[in-house]
Amino acid sequence: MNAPFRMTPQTRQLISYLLMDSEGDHYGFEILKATGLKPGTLYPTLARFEEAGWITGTWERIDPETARRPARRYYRLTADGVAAGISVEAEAAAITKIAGSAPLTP
Amino acid sequence: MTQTPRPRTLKLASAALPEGNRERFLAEWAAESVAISEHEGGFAALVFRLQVLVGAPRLAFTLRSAFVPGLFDGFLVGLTLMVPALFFTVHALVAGESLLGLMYFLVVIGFAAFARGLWCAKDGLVSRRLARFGLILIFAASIGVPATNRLADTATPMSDAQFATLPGALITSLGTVIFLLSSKLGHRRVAAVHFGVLVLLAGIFVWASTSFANAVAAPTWFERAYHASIIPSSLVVAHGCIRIRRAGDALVVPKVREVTPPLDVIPHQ
Repeated sequence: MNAPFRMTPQTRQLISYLLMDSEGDHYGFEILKATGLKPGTLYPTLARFEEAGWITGTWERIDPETARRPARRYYRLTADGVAAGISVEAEAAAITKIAGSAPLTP
Repeated sequence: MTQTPRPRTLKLASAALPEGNRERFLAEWAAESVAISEHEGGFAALVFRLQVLVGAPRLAFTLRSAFVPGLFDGFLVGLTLMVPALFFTVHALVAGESLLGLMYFLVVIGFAAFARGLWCAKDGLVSRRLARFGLILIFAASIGVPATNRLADTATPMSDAQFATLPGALITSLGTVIFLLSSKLGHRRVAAVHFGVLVLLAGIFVWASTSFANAVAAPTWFERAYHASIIPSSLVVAHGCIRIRRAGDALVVPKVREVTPPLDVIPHQ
């Protein structure tokens, strides 16, 4: 699957993380903590994924008064996002295989 | 969503976004800030808010330029390379230095081709022919500009500068020549690409440092701006050189070399 944007290492890292729990809901702090990405990278990338239809964002359904915290925005991979993630991981695995068998310097 | 306290840093960050996205991101960031504050403490939340503030212009650009690959990079390249090069061209022509104006115009065309070759390939790899054509023009101009200043006895802030930019230009040109000839070196081409780009980077460093010194020593604000305008361009070209180094690896290993690092994943929820 061709991404409608450039696949940087950070982009690949994010899609790989989401793919590890493809049916789960993920929110910003959790992703930041798990991937080590910075907010300045995470939110634009999430915005691109959402525009591309790879993820959907929904607001958590809680009563903020009862929960004593504001509602979070959760992100979940779509079917297109899962397919894109698998494609990206396959490409990364192929590159790893080539890099492992070919010399990097003459 | 909820009416939680919204720190000023987050309000300021959201103000940079397109109007339709402000409330959504402000609420999301406020919730994240509360979560971080609870789990990691107030200082971590403050760092998060500052990082959001710093990253807000990039997010704003992403939201405005969805589905236009490379637009942000292209915008920055255009701004940092074209503006000073065009400025020098116009300045030389207005000052009646038509030959010098032509040399600077070669720089404009060269940078345009170089930038196009580097940044506009969708997959991020270098369009080498176009980038090399740009480098040839920049190489020609980097010799032509100081030569014209010396031979034609021009009167511009560059020719009247306290420190000569010729050494930086010559080292940059040497790096460019090594890089351009690297494809002729057979199995040594990757090493030649890397060496050429390193020399190129060294030349750019010397050139930018000299320009900075000239800017500091310049007697008027106009001349300071004239010299200092080269420095952002140098940074962009240095960034381009680093991309070429990566493409040098791609000559051996197809496509990109980076491999997604293993994730240190925490339990979710």
